[in-house]
Amino acid sequence: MLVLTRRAGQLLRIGDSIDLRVIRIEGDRVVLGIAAPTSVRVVRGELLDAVSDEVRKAGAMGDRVRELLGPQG
Amino acid sequence: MRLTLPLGLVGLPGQTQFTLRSDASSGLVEMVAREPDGLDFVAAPIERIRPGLRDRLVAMGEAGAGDLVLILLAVHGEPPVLTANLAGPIIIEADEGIGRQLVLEGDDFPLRAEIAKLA
Repeated sequence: MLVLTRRAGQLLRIGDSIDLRVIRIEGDRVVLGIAAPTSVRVVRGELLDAVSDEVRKAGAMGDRVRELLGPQG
Repeated sequence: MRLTLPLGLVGLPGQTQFTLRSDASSGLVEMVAREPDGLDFVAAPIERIRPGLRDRLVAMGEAGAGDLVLILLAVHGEPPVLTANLAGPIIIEADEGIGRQLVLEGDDFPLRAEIAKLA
């Protein structure tokens, strides 16, 4: 992993078309500005973890969902 | 119908091969991994969960007009509540049997949208 130190206002460019700027630093929070093509998806890491966790749970409960849905499915 | 997710599911990149079986009576879709003892999902077309959200995904450029958009269902809590994972829809090019799972942020795309109380 590349580790870089940046100050507020400084920029990182990723590839040819993604700019990541440190807008400001507030205590233990960093406010970032991201400029990227609309085709590039930007999501928070914790959301990725949450979706992954939910997918694992859903994939282990197919029988339970079918059982509970029963004829009303 | 065979479904290939070349990138796998979110957090499960090795889960790429599935079989889809539609239940005409319920409108639900079984999405089962083709490996032994693999993942076993019950899903629903997005139109059944949130009418209108499909058009929104098309407008966002996330789905094509002819794509099948599946939402994975789960059960949580006691008494049990049926929930839909709108944060992670699966977009499928039905003609090709190839799909991908998105991750969407925002109030319209909750991880556990309550669909029905099952008690």
